[in-house]
Amino acid sequence: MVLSAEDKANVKAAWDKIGGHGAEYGAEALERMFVSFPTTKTYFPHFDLSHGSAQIQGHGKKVAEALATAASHLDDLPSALSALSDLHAHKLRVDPVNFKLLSHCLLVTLA
Amino acid sequence: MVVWTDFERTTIQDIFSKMNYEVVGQQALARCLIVYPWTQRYFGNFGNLYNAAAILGNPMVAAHGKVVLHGLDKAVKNMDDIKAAYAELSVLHSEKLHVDPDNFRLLGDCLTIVVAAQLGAAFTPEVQAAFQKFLAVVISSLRRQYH
Repeated sequence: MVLSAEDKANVKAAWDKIGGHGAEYGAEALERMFVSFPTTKTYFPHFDLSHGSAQIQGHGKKVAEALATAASHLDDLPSALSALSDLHAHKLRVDPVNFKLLSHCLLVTLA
Repeated sequence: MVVWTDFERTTIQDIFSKMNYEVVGQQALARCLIVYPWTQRYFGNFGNLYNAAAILGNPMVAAHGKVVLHGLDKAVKNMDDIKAAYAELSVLHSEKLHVDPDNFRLLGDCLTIVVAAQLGAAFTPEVQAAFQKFLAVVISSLRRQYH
């Protein structure tokens, strides 16, 4: 899947609007995902998943930072994200269907 | 048999009673056609779908969006047996329209996003979960008659 020049411009514009709220939105997206799609919680048995938990806030920040990295490397996504891809595939072993669930919840948060 | 909590029931009834079917239907279907362009395959006779602006301004898309939402109404009014209420619609989508059921999820996702934008902060994670569950039941009922 290739991003067109227009796609990249749209992503940059949307990311700019997020401003400094990345961590907040990341945490909200995670919380929404855990509530709407409880199977995703199975990947976080070691977390306190209650509303407002420090672990969700912290993890939301990590997710937002990774997305910021991606947004600034739109011309080179596969290599910019290759370390994260390896992590999720080989160490965390996350079923890729869950990436769609989190991205949907991020879109809902932004909406 | 699907078990609904009181919260889920009230939430779904509430969302739909306040919804502007014309706006939400049109927005959801337009987003689906724009964001997931292969869904346009089912609308060959809708005229100009060449770009986002055309899709957003297309009156047939608007009209059909409304039809889809009124279809959802049926589920809202028959929450205790959506499976039965949707038997005919399921046959229609599988035998007559030949729609790949994966597309139901895509339209459902777009609808969720439009509703989220409309309700803002009121679309809390709990409200979202009720809405997602409702859509999952609707989609599962629509898929039943495929063979």
